Amino acid sequence: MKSLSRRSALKLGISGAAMLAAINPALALVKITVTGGNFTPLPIAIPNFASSNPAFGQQMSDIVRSNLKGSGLFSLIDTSSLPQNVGNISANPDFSIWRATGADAVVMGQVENTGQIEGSVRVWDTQAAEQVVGKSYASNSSGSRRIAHQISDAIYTSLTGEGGYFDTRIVFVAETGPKANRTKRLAIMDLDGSNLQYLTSGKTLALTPRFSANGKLLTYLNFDNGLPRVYLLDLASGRQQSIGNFGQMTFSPRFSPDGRSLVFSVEQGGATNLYAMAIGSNKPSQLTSGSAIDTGASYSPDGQKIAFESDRGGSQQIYIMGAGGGGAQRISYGKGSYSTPVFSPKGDLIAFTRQSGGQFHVGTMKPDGSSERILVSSFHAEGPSWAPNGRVIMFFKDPGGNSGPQLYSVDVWGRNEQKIQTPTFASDPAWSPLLS
Amino acid sequence: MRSGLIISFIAHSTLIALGLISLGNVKPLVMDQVESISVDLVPIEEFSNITIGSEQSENIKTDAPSLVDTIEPAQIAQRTGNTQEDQVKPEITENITPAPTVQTAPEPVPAPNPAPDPEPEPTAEPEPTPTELVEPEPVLALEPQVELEPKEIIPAPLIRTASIDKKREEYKKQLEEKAKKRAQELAEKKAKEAKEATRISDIINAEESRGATTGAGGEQSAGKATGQAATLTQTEQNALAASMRKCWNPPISAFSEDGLTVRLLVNLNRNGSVNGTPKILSQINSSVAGATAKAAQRAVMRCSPYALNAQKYDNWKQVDVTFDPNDL
Repeated sequence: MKSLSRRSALKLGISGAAMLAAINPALALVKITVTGGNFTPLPIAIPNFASSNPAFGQQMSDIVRSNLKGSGLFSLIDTSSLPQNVGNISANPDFSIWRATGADAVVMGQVENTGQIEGSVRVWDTQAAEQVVGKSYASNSSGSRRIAHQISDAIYTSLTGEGGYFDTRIVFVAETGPKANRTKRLAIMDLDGSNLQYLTSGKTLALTPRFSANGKLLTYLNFDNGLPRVYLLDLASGRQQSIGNFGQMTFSPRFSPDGRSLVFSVEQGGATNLYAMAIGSNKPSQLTSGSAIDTGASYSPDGQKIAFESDRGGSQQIYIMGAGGGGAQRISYGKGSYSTPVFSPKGDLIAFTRQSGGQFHVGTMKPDGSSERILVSSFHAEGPSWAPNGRVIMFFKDPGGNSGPQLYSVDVWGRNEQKIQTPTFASDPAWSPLLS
Repeated sequence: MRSGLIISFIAHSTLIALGLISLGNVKPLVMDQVESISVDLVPIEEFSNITIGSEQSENIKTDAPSLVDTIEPAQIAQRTGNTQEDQVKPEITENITPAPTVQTAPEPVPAPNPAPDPEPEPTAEPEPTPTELVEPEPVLALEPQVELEPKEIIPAPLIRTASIDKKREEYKKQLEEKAKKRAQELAEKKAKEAKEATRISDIINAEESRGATTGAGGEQSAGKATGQAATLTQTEQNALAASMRKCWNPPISAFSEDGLTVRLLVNLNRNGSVNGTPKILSQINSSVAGATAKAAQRAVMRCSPYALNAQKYDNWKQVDVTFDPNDL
């Protein structure tokens, strides 16, 4: 074999070094961290929806604008200062012009009312210069407001990441008459107050209405011949029916997440305990026992747990137990007494009413009882009910004196407390799931 | 023999080549941005040195300095005053002590009218008191000093000659030259100092001597001299993060999610503006994370252009930014 000559050895060495040099580690970057953001409502521009009937387009965009403004998470750019008054859903907007108005998002919509209602919407991000979401809806002629609410939900979801809640209805107890002798009847209306209807006649007192998971059934407390009884109401037909006579009183009913059973309290022999019953059957099964008062039950969204209030420990506190009954664990340890626990539809929070310091408070806590947050404090505020996205709570507040209760909503971050307009005094709100 | 050598050589070089290639692909050291903390390197000797001792030691007795002057023992102080007898009880005497006077300044005397002075009576002039003339004591006369023989010859008065004048002028010139030279030297010295001073301020102010780009001098940091990571100084990085924070508006739902952060890859142009849309590097697991990522992109683009050192453009062409809604 030829021995390695110096030249070839040199070549070998150089090629090896070149190979070495050619292997570069990946470009390393400057890394920085930005912390501590401040939330400000997102500036959004909503020109009027295009439509062959401009008034119809304006009406629909007005509904959308008031929905988004009422959520407290958006700040609307004044329509008079927009570069175009009517949106064009098929053209790409000129992003630099829209950026100059200060808007981070632009909504272009189109609605038509030709026997059938058709609506489409596109949301654009002006900084990234791209479309965020594009959707279309269709409905029969009576559903124009619902189309507007669904458009609002699409805009809300695409920009905040949370589910929408505008296409929903509220059932509440409408109170009329003098304070000593109030007439209380169930009423249902859209979230923005339109399409109000009364569901019961008012001959008997109706209290604590609750929606089923599909939004088609209501359960509530009816004073039938002076005795509190749990009733079911079918929203489509208006038919009301008692679930049965158990014990001396049955009250505080709630649907299970699958909509097939009810949990309610039965008072018998001085003790009030929780019972669960499949709808249609006549045999409730007892969940708690003992001589304490256990009421206000609420299922978790997965149907595995029940939160309820009980005074077994001496004062009213919130307990959690398995859905089949059994050992209950106390989770409320703050100052005062706790009542009306309600699981959020997302299952990450429980809303409650607390009485302490001579005042009522409505707040949230995690299902293990930690991170308690009081959202509202008032002379009398109670009865929280969750929006379907688990981020807004509706409750009622009573200022006392000769006036009466009114409905209010607040978001779980404690912002945007707002009064819900009702024609009469209103209490005990129940928020339906999304109608779509 | 030969073949064995060749085979061994080939096998070794293959191994080495493989090692070079595979080891070269190792991921670079990922450095988190940390707050710079000044650190003192304390050698362990400071703690582990045994104090110097000596085996021989003599007890040298020295008296402690005395606090007192005498050796006599101190005596307990006696009580002053009469403690044996009772003191006389003060009696009320008949002497009336005078009332305390209040000393006030005399009232100002009004200016006297310039009345004509009465003519002084021709009083007899007082006789001049005979002052005794004290005869001065006879001054002791000094002994007449003997005139000393002048040892030094008093120089005869100078006769001004031309040569002396010339010499005087020459001397003057010399003095002037010396003064000039001194002035020049001073000026030179000042100029030199001034130059040195500007050089020193240059050194102090120069970025090159302070920065970490060379890796030598300036702030110490881990890495290679040719490494390209984190070559913006700590203050520059903080300034860039602060300017992005101004536009950082996360959606409110981001505050409810624990541990939600978004990582973006931002491409910057030489003038500090953003090139294109920042790319999202972190995983988007939920719609809230997606909305937060969009808000992070908006933050980066809204606050551009950024004020960065154009000379270091290669270092900040691409920036990896992590957005966290919560304050740490």
